Amino acid sequence: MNIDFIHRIGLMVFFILVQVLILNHIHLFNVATPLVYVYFILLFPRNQQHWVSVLWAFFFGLILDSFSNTPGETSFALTLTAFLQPYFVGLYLERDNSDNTSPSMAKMGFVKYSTYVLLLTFIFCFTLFTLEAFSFFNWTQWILCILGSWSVTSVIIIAIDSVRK
Amino acid sequence: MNNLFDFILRYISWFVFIICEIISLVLLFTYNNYQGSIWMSSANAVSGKVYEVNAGVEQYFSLTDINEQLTKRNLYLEQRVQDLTSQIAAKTGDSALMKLENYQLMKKFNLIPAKVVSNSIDKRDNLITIDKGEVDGVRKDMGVACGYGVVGIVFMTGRHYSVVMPILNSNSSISCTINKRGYFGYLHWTGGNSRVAFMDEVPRHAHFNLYDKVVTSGYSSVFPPGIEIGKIIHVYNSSDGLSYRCMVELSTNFAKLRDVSVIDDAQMKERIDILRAAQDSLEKK
Repeated sequence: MNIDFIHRIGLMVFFILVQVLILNHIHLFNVATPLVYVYFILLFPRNQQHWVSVLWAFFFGLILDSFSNTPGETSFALTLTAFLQPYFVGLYLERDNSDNTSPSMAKMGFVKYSTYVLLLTFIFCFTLFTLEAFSFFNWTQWILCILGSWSVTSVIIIAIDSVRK
Repeated sequence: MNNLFDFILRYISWFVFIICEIISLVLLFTYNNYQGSIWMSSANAVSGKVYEVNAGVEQYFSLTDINEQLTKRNLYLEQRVQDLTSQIAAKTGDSALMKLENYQLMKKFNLIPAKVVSNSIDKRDNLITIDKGEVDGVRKDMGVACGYGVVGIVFMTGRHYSVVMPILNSNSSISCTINKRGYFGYLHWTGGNSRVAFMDEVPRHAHFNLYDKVVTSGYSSVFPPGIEIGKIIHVYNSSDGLSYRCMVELSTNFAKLRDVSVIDDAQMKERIDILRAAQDSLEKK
């Protein structure tokens, strides 16, 4: 139980409440829902043990699932995203940064950070809506949901990170 | 054995990842037929509570609207009941024509919902401010009522606010009648207790009981007939001994007044104009 752990729990509760109480009610053009909680995964620092971030993502996803009555969906997608996240951090974060830095626009620059966010968010949205499509499949709806939520989510995350210090 | 541990430790993230994904998939594909899965749903204690608190907060924000609607509805229904009873009376009694006229009159009333902005009950001349003014159609001498009964009469109007002279003002005088008995009087307030006022000038020959309802008479153009004022809880002789003075327990609780309706009588202006014209012509003679 160190301060980082408590800090992260607080962040998690914050993301859950914002998502469940506000963002889940937004359906832009009936397809785009901001899934800003992915930001929680994107913030994992480089030196965090890989399996720890996977576990965090799994439980975070489970809690979110329990609110939206979709057990397994979000947790699957988030676990996958968290599993792939270190590889992307390795690609885009310069080696000369200290090991406990979280990926951020200030550290990586706009282009690299945006690419990082866009790629991971796309993986997340793609997985999530593909799983959702198992219960009800409709080509156009599926593609529109992925593209809509992906763009809204990435734009919001990039915007938040650009004002974060 | 060490080799096995080494192997597991080396690929621990893969193991954790695969296990988590398998659990997720199992949950995903068994959710609908898994009976014990309530703890994974939004009905579990934590998410249920969060949603409940959220709903509570949301409801709280819509309370204002609901209150306003209820006040308006209540007033309307009260008038309607009064109206229907008088219609029944008209069918069975003899004053059919007059009651029918009243019924026609009722339809022309337009209620303007308003909120009490400031209020007092502890002075001798209390005044109430409401958040509707000339822009909203409020004019001087319009009646103001709330869901429980009569509040007062519009005294001054601004563009967006108005001052109402409530019953609890020594200058207020509202024409009232004892329900279903037809004796008239004027409602006055002499300070003190905010729950009681006095109905003066009730004739000595009047027959009525304690706890009879007192309602507006409809003889002034301010209030339509039949809006509740209160009930008689005590009877005295007037100071000159020529009439009764009834203590009326007001049905409106002024201390808790929040939502009111201004009664906009479209015909009132016309009636007042006719009255003035009549007075003028009388004076000329």
